Parts: sequence; structure tokens; C-alpha cells
Amino acid sequence: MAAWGADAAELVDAVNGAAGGPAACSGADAYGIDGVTPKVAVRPAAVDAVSAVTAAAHRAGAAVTPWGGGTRTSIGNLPRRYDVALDLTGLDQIIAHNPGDLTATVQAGVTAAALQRTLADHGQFLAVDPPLPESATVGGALAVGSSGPLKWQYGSVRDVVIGMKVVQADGAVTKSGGQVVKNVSGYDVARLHVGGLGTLGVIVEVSLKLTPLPAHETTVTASYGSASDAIDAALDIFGGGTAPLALTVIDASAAADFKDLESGACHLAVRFGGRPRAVERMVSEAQAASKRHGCRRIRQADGAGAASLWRQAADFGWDTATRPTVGVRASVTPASVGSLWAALQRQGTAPGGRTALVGHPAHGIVQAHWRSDGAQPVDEAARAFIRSARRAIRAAGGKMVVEQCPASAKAGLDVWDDVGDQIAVMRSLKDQYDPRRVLSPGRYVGGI
Amino acid sequence: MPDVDPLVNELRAIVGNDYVIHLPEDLIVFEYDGSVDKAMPSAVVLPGSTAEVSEVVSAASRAGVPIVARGAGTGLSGGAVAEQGGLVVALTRMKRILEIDPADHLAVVEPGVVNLDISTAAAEYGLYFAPDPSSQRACTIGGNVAENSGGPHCLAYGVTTNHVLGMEVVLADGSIAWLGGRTRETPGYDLRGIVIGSEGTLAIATKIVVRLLKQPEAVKTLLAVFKEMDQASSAVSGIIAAGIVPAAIEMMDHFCIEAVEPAVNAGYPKGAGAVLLVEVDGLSEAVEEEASEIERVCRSYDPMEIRAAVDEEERARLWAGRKGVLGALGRLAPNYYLVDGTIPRTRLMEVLARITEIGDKYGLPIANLLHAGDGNLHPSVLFDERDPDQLRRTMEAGAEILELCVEAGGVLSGEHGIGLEKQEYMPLMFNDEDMAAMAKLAPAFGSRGRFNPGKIFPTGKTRAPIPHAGAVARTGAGAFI
Amino acid sequence: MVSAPPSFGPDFEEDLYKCVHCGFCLQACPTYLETGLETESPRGRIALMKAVNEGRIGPSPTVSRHWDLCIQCRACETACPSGVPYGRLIETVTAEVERHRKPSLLPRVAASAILKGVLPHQGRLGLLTGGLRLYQRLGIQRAVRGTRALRVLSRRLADLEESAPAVSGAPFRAGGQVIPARGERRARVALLSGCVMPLVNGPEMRAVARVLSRNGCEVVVPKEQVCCGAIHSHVGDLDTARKMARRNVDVFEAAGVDAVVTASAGCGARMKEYDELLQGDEEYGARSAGFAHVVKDVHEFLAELPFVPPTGRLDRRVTYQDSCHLVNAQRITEAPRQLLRSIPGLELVEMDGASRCCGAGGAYAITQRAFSLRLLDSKMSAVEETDAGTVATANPGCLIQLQLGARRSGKPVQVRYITDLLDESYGKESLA
Repeated sequence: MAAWGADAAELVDAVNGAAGGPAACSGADAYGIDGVTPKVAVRPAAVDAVSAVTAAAHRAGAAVTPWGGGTRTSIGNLPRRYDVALDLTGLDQIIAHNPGDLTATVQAGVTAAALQRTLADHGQFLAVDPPLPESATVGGALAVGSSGPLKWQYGSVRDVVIGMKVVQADGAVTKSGGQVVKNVSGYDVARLHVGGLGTLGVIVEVSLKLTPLPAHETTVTASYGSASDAIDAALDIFGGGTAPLALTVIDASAAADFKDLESGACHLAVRFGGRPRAVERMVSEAQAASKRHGCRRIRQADGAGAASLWRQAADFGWDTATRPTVGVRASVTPASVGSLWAALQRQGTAPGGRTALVGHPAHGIVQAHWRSDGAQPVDEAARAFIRSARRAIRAAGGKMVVEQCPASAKAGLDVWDDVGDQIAVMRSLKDQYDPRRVLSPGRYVGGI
Repeated sequence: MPDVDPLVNELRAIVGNDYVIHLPEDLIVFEYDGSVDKAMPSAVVLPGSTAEVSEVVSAASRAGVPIVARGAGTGLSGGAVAEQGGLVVALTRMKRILEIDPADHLAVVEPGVVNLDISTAAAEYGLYFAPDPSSQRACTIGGNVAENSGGPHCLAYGVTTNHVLGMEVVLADGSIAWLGGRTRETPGYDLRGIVIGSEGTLAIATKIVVRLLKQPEAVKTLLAVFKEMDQASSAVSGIIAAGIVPAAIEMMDHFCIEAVEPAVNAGYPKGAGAVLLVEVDGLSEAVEEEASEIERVCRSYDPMEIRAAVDEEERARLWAGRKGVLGALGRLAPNYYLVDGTIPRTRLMEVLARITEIGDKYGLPIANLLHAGDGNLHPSVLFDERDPDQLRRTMEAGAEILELCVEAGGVLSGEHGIGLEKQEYMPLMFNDEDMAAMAKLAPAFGSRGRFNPGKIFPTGKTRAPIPHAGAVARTGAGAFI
Repeated sequence: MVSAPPSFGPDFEEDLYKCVHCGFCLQACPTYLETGLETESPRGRIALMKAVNEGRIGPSPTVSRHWDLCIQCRACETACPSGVPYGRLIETVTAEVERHRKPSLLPRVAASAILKGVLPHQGRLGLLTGGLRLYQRLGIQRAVRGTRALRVLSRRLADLEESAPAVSGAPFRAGGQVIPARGERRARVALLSGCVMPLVNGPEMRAVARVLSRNGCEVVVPKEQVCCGAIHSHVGDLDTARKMARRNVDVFEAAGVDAVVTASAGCGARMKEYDELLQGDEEYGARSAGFAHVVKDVHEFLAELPFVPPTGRLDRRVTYQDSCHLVNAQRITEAPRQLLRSIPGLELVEMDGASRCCGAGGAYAITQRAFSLRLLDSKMSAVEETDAGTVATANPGCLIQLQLGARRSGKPVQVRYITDLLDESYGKESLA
């Protein structure tokens, strides 16, 4: 297949023509990924225009990367080719919110925060909490696919999608699912795109399952001398009778970056929501569990204080203040979080930087962040950190993704873990849906 | 139909003589599932392990014989019917619960394990498997995965796909792969999620990792009785508007009450136009509050009666009524045709009214049984198949109901699958490009024409073929006619 | 094999097509659970009946072997939402097949001889069991089992020998005797003596009478009564079954009692459905309907009476095996348990799948021996898991089968009738 051969101006013209007007933005530099800058950035305002641009790129053999809020573009392997940044923030319409049905249909470029504000007016929310929600788009959060601290029922982003409209690599606009919460009509194709990093299609519209906001919320924070006590307390609560909305462990190193958290201690933050009397009971059970595991101090926060803590927990590692040199996200089973945590902490004491760990034991998620102190050559130290993290995660029976890493250290590195026997099917999915490798080539698992 | 004799010999070498069925008299019992569609397979094989499944699939692939995977055969859309003949791979021998992991709240099971048996085995750890299709005493987890089965309690707890973390599958070339795993997030495309609900067309699951939930500490079941369906529909909306998502909200109309009450003595009062069965569970404090809130909401719609089950026995009785409805419809008519559309729940009232109009138009009573909380309707057209004109009118009424569901912003199937039953209706929801995008999955999995061919997509047969299609179920004697 | 296409009749057809093949019955069926094969399931067997009825296939041996493998435990009926009367269907089909089958096999001849020539005549059956008792008493059985000589001579004979029930004492005879009520008379009942139980378990039958008497019942045992006919209808000999039913209706009607009590679940189930068996019979049709209502299983009867709770202590860990004919055919589950729990010191522990058939099934243990033993061995492992030293049952077929299971497993498990345990407990009171 022909790689994009024409010069930037020609591509801009093609894209403008396809978009039916001057859609291309100046400043393609703002859309760089791992130091690679696209030849053109385009910000269409309608699904048809997205389709036309994608079709034009498809015809021309240009590589397109869909772009949402640009908050987590560090996820992925080095782009093999990158010609067009397809900025979807122009698709910012909330098409329908049906409070009585607990459903909404939105365009992909709506920011998470804007959507939550609209829903909150009706006492509802979307159980997805991506980092930096003022910038992060719904489409982007779905394409990345990983969950935040929020653990509403299943805690998986994929479980909130009930229907989806996608622009295929050749520009065709297709839909799957529907606008009702229970549906088995046809294949659930949206599953390919949630967590698919835009490599099989461009998410342009989604229908979502919503949740009523809890009548009452509170957060219990307990501090511990050791992370293992905090994790044991978390698992104790996970196995008990209460149903927390979030259960997050923050180690002493990470706590230093949190406002309002006592430094030098590990913390367990537990978020509860529901009817006041039920919340009261859950709080007392969480407090009892915390005490059983030797916590030093327990605090309870509501309102703004709690909101700030959870905002920081979701943003951790993604806002400029806490952005690490290397960020690894591990997924293990809940019971393995303790041993993984211990192993990562041992390795984190290596010279050249500081490790910070934040985990959600009920999901089995552990984020391991390493920040270089700049003393050593960064690439070498980054690779060493990734290697040792990978060993520890494998030993714990888990899988990982390197979410942040200096571009210079990415060469020769697969940021995704091995997907095993599934790879053959994944490659043939790419062959089927994007045979000309238009969509973000090279960035996905196994170099897809 | 391909010559399967050489294949039969090969299969015998793989699984042993006892587990290859090929005599026509024996194959007859594999021509049906729980739906009305029937077709004879060329042979049936019952492998006992993943390795055997793999070898069987390879052998069939080499012989060019298509495969239809089968569990307990309780499906309602013809998913396990070998429409084009071929080899049925029945997984009912693979019924071991391999592991229950109480610390991680998961179980690893073989596909032939019966849905309810998972919860029974997990009960000693205070855990259970949430999806509860009404056939849960008989249906297998492999079948649940194929159809992405739901059940009354999926209103709050979700359907099968929300409760499966990973699975080992055999692909159409006989290779074995793990999709997903024991952990919540795994890198790569969510093949697990694609295979769940793919109606056996992409892969055969041989081990399944399911998530287990904690048993709720308290459960409360309320019965609210109304004079009119409209009041019941409004009450459903009122409950949701109050910010409550109960574990289940089930609705039954006067036909259902008339049919089931003499059979089960569930305690649904005579003369009622509709009953709601609402269940809340969770912490005892929350359950108490939510139950009284629900009661308050229902009262504002002028119920004839509202009461909570006082003990486990009464609760079981209320549910026995709900679960016995379909079987009991036979008291009203010899047959029923059950439709499985879902609509946005806010449109319940208007859609139910239009369903009654459709019934009037075709001169047939339609009993309404609904998972009302999530808008999943089960209108059942009552008729007598011995009267060809009634059968024709029934099919037309069914088609009109499905069209109505889609028009109201709903879908063709909420939980039974498309299969053979509704494939010709797919164009109501999806255009050619939508379906072309879906149709790329089978070649990507290498299963096109090999696993369960002829399902899901329209074939161009006339819609509502008579008397072959449609979930026509024949029930007892004695009738309204 | 089959000369003429079978004709099942319109009622049969009406019943047959109530099945909507939903599959809810599968998990209730012991033969399906054991094999995982649809061919060995109620739904499969019904599909074959439909296919035969529609003339798509003939009732060839390939087909009828699936019907033969059915134990007729009727557990499927309890799971069926559409109310398919499976027991009636399989009985009709078995009868029809039997009518067409050439009795070429030796075991069939033997079985037929026993069913037609022995069971209806208490005297002849008594002779047979008397011989068996001598055989067991004189130590011949131990010698034969020790040398395995029989197995060398004939496997089938050895199987029969292995299954032969232990004869527990002098037979119970229906001689028109009247056992007076103890204390104030609360009811007058007739006791069905049955065929196998009074001979094999004479002492236990006398215990039944004592328990009834202890609870204020005057017990009569009419002399002219005959076998209830269950085993005949089970193997498809409906004519003989009807003959016996008519006789029993006559005899028990004449006895002038409040209830006809059966100690055997299989007999109770049969007699409660005499009206179905005699449907269309000009003289007996209506009479049998009234008769069916006065038939009571002894456990059901005692629980309703209500019984006098015993006070004699029995320190035993007991598990209860539901008899198919009690749980499925008569839908009685609680009464037997209630009786057991009333005995001081007795600890009742539930086994896994208590209502799953033990594999006895009337003649099934002989005609489908291999499969019957598979079911029995599964049952015995469930018993073993409870750590109970005693299995209680309410039916002679189950008792005999479970005793065989205990012998096979080599574990010191006692198999006892519930009424026998009650009697023991009552007996201890009088000592105290």
C-alpha cells in the first residue's frame, strides 16, 4: 500500500475538501505523539465530515489517529506512521439524555466533565471517571478503556456502553447495539472499540447506561504504617458485606503528592454512597476493618474535601504535577495485590528515581509510577524499571501496560503485555477492519 | 449434506464410541432446542475435554463439516439448531466446576455446568453467580455465554457479559486460545466481549472464568396490584425516577394472572389488571428504606393492594407465580408466540397500549409479561396452531410488535438472541453497512461457514415463514377458543 | 422386530404435545445427569415418542432402549412447567412396545413368569422368599459369595443373587386380622400388605401396624387384597395391573375404613392413580376416583393425624433418601422428615441430591443392572459424605437397593424404614 507521499499542503487541501470547508487546524504540532508530529490536524464538526476525512485518508493511504482531549496519548507503541490528527472535540453534542430510561446518547467529543454536569442536574451520573475530565472526552475514555478508582458494580468502562456509532477505516458509518439497557440483537461490535485505542474504527457517537447519584456520600480515609496493612484492610472490606464506590490504597511516596494526605504514611481511602443509614453502617464497618488491621488514624470527609481527594486519585500520574517518567498499570486478581505491591516497592528503591504506588485492590489494579531524579541516563533507568516491573507483575499472574514512558526509551519496546494465543485473531481483526492500516498503525498490541 | 461416515470414525477415535451419535433415530433428539425451529444434524459428538473439543473441531474442519455447539438446548431463538446439518458438538459432559476462588470472588467452570449449580457451589462462601435466566435450573453456562443471557435480576446486576472475566476457547481451526483471563483488565481487543453473545458463530468456550457476587444480606419482595396496566407502567417509571434501581421489577397483565393463579396460588388477586413484583436487596438498612420508598411511589398510583412478602416462603410463592406464567398460559390457549423486544422503559405505557391494539386488529389476545425495569417485553400472542388462519394472524401480529419495538427506539431481542427466529428482522435495526461491519467478525475468527452457519443475518427468506419460524410453543389443552 | 405401527390413542397425543421441549426436565433426570446424553433424557424420550407417533421412525430396538433406560422415577414431572404427565406417557409407550416385542430373551421369560405367575399370588411368592430366607439363614449365601462360584457359572444369576434382598424375619400375612387401637380410637384404617414387603420385611410391616395402633388407629389387614399392580404397569403389563386394581377396589371398599394406608411409596403412588389406570372402565372408572382419595402414604397419614411424638431416645445420625414414588409421584417431602426429626436424639442430615433416584426403580435394578448400579454408587457416595450411619427410606424397593449399595461400598451403613425407627423409639418409651 502506498504510504502518504504528497506534501503537507496537498493533504490539507484533501482534508479540507473532504470536510466540506476549512476544517484543518493550524498548529499540527499540538498533536504530537511520542515526538511524532502529524502533517495535518483536522477538527470536523459533524459525523459526515469525520467520515469524509477518514475516507480521503483511506484513499490516499494516509495514517489517521483519532484524538480526544489529548490527555492520555502517551499510551501506545511508537506510531509507525502518523499523517492526520483527527480531533473529535468538535463533536460535542449531547444528543439525548433520557433520565427516565437512565440512558444518554452523546457525541464522542463531549468532555467527561460536561456530560457529568448535565447528568447531575437530573440526579444521575456515568460510572466512568477518567483523569482530567475537563479535557478528557467520552470517546477518548472509551478508546483507552481503563477504569478509574470508581467501582460502581463492575467497574469496567466497557459495561456502560449500550450502543455505538463508528466511522470505519474506509469512512463507512456503522452502528451497533441500541439505546436500551438490555439488548442481544446482533454482535456487540462496540466491544472492539472500547479499549481498542481507535485502531479498528473511530468512535463518533455512543449510547450509555447511567446510574442514579447516591443519595448520600462519604469517604473514610485511614492511615497506616505499612502498605500491606492498608491492602489487607482494603481486601477485608472488599470481602465483607459493604459495597464501596471506590477502594484505593496510596503509598507513602504517592501520598506526598496528594494535598490533605499526611505524608510518611500509607493511606486507604474508601468511598461509600447510598441511603444515609446504610452509609452510616458501611462507614462503621470500614472503620472497624481499618482498626483490625492496625490503622493509625481515621478521618471522614464529605463534600468538597472528598471530591478533591477522589479527583486527585483519578488524575494521579496524568496531571502535570504528578506526571511520572514511567507509568505502569498492572492488573492482577485482588488477592495478589499485596504480593505485587511488596515486590514493586522492593524494586522501587533502586537509585535514579522515586517510585510511587496507587492501587485499587478490589479491581486488582496497581499503578506503579517512577519519577527520574535526572541523575542517570533516563532511558536506561526507565527500561530497567519497566523490566523489573514486568517481572514482578508476571510473577503475580497479572498483565501490564506501560502508559507513560520517554519516547526515546520506547524504541524496541512493546508497551503492551503479550496477549498470548489471542494475537492471531487480533491481527486478523485489523486485516478485516483496517486492511490499509489507516488507523493509528503500529501503536496497538503486537504492533497492530 | 456432506458424507459424515469417515468423520464419524475419526470422532469415535477421539471421544470413544459411546459419545458419537449418528443413527437417525438418535439424532432426532438433537434436532430441536427450546424454540420451535428444527433441523437434523448429521452427527452429534460429546467431547469430554478441551483437547477433545480441539481435535473434534480440527477433524470437522478437515472434513468440511460445519459445527453447531450445543449446551442444554434450552435456547429460545434456534441457536443450537443445526440449520444446515453438520456436526453438533454437545458440551454437556464437560460439567466440572474446576475452581471456586473465594478470595478473588471468581469461579472457573466448564461450559456444561448448569447455571444454578455455580451459585449452589459458591453458596458456602456467601457468593453467587448473578445472571439468572428463568431456565437457570437447566441451562448451561456455555449456552449463557453464547446468548449473553439475562434474567429478572439483570436490572441491577447486568447480564452474562458483565460477569465473565475470561474464557478458554477453541477456534474454528482447532486451536486453543485464552480470551481475557482472571484479571479485570487484559491488553488487546476485548475478544471475550465479542464472543459472548455471538450465538456460537465465532468460538466454542471450553473453560469460563465467572465473577461471583456477595450474597445480599437482606432481600425484600413487594407485590403491587393495580386495576390497569397504565398505573403499573407509571409506577415503574416512578420508581426509577425516585433514583432507585431495584434488583428486579417484573410486570404481569391480567391474562398472566388469570393463567397462573389457579396453577400456582401465588397470591395475585383476582380481577387485577396488572401486578408488579419488585425486589430490592443489599444492606438491611438500605433495603428497608428503598422498600418503603417504593411502596410510597406505588401508592401514588392508586394500587388495589400492596404488600411485602413476610417470609422466605411467601417470597418464593410470589416468584413461583412469575416463573410459572409461561407454562400456565396453556390454560388460556393451546399455543403462545413469545416476542422478546426491548423498549426504553419510559415508553412502556404507549407501547403496551399499541400491543393491545395489535391484538384487537388480529383478533387474538396477547398476554404481557415483562422485565419491566429494563423495558424487556415478552408479549405472548395466544392462539391455536391447528387453525391455519390463526397461525398466520399470529405471525403477522408478532412481526408488527417487533416493528413497533424498533420504532419506539427499542430492539429486536432483549435476551433470547436473534438465531433463526429473528434473523429476517435484522434490517429493521441495521442497514447493510452495519451488518457488513458485523459480518467481518466471523472471517476474523476464521469461523465463517464453520461455526453455526446461517444464523443472525437475514437470508432473504420471507419474513414470518409459516409454520417454520417463530417461537411457537404449544401448551396444554383447553382454550379461550 | 415390530410388526405394526403402534397406536397410542388421542389422549396420549394430547398429553404428548404438551411438551414444548424447553429442557427444564433435564437436570431432574437421573439418567441424563449420569450420561449427559439427550437421548437418555425425558425430553429426548418424548421427542422419540413424537417421532414414532408421527410415523417418522418405528419403535425399533434403537429407539426403545432409550425408553427402557428410563427408571420412571417421574422426577421430570416436578420440573415441568407445562404439566406433561410423563409417567403416563412412558407407561403407555412401554406397554405398546412390550406388546410388539417378541419375548425371545430368557430374562424376559423369567421376569414375565414372576410378574404374572408369582407376584399376584402371595402363596407362591412366599415360597420363593421362604427359600431365599433359608438360603441366607443356613449360611449358604455366605459360602456362595465367598467362593464366587456362582459368578463363574452365570453372570446374570450371580447378579440376581447379589441383588437379592435380605429377608429379615417371618413374613407378614394378610389374614384379615384386626390390630386394635391403643388408647382412644382416632381412626380405622386398612393396611395394604403389598407383595414384596410383607415377605422380605415381615417384622418391619408389623412395626408399621404397631406405629399406627400406637397412634390410635384400628388397623385391619383384609385377607383378599392383592398386589397393587405397580410393578406390572411399570413394565407395561397394564392388563394384569388393571385386574389387580379392580380387585383391590372391591376389597378395600368393603373394609369400611377411613383410609387405606400403604407403607410402600410405590404402592401408594399406583393406588392413588387407580382412577387413571381404570379410566373408561364402565363399572370401576367412577368408583376408583373415590377410592384414590382415601389412599394415604403412611408418613403422610401420620403427619396429618397428627402423630404422637415419640419420646424414646435414638442416638443416630440419619440421612433420608426420598423415594421417587413419594417425592415425585405423590409430592411428599416434608412428612417423612418431620417424623424423623420428632425422634429424640436423632440427627437428620441432608445428603446431596436426596431426591435423586437410587436406581432401584421396580424391575429396573434387574433389567438395567449396569446402569442401576452406576446410579446406586453415586448415591452411596452422597450418603458417605454425610457421615450418617443410617439411611432412612420409605419404600421397600429403595431399601433393598440401598442395602445392596451398603454391601457394595463395604461401609457399615444401616438402611431402615422410617416407621421402623419410629417403632423403635416408641418401644423404648414403654421400657422407660
